[in-house]
Amino acid sequence: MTALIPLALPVLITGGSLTSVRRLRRRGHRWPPARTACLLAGTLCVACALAPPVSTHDELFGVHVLQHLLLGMTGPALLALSAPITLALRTAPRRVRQVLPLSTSICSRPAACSAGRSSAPILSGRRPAVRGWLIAFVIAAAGHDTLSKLMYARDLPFGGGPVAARHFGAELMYYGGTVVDVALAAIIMTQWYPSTGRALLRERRRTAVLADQHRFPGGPA
Amino acid sequence: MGGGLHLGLKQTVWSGLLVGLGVVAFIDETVFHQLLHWHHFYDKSTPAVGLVSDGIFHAVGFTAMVVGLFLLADAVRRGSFIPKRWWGALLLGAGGFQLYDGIVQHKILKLHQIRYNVTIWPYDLTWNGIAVLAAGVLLMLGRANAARAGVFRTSSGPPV
Repeated sequence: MTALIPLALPVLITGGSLTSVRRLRRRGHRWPPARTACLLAGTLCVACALAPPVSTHDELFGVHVLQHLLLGMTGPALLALSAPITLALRTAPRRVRQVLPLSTSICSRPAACSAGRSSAPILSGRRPAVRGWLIAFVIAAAGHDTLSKLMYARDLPFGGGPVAARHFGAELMYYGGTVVDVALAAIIMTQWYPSTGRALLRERRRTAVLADQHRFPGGPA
Repeated sequence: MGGGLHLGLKQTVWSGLLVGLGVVAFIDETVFHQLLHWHHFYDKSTPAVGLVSDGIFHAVGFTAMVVGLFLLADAVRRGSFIPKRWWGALLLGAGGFQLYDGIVQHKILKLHQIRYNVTIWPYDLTWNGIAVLAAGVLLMLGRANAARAGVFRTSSGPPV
């Protein structure tokens, strides 16, 4: 029974967020269903990592790595995509929103960096400086790959079950990490793509207006 | 320089270079590791610095592929995508990386070899030869009329 206690956290997050989304909808505001889907998938990842049998068998290195992939990489990325801070700021009572300067500091860049590499570009909520994010991302991903190969090479970690289990864990960390990292790279670029598109559209409109003024110097007839 | 067309060419060329790098990384991973089993996830002869270089190559490879494909979409969206330039840049990216890998990583730093326990020079010649070939094809494409037919031709692309 005590093994189920950690599940309180994902359950609370899901319940609170779904209530907020309902309140927002009832007020007539839009909230993209994709964000709710990300919320549910993210909390499911967290719950799977915290619940038995994963949580009760993490002395086996492969299971521990699975926990790491779910709790440390996939879950946070999905939760960040569900825009929890935006949701909180839109539905929080006025008294809470009055301390806004405090809450927006969560969105500041250094804070976002410390929130984890995967969720940082999504949480910061600004037009992403994509080049910097990609460099940071590649360094982190290369570190992840190198570490997993190093663990394989040195039969690490000691006490992680039989050598075959440790090797399996290291390979899972490498290939599983690659799958998640490819998705993260795509997420970073899907933040960049529409923002560049909007800039392109503005530029085109401006050029069209200029061309119009050139043809009809007195303005549109 | 400047203006929409040159910006579009920039997107096309960067996209090709990055996808080319991604393709080489993919070939290395699937053909040499998974299909031929010439390389392994790890073998005892790999020095620690080889592990680091492997990790960087892997991460850079798949990131380059993702970014390159998004840049391709961006170039098409701008209506300034030039197929032949893209294929040329792809070959340049792939061939350039092969040359770097074949000369710096294999020969100068001696991080790893193409295949083990065999006479290595025919393999080296092929790997580096492919690089030169790729660069040669690129030059050929460069002199050709870039606006002519190519795979991924877009109807809205401006002529060059």
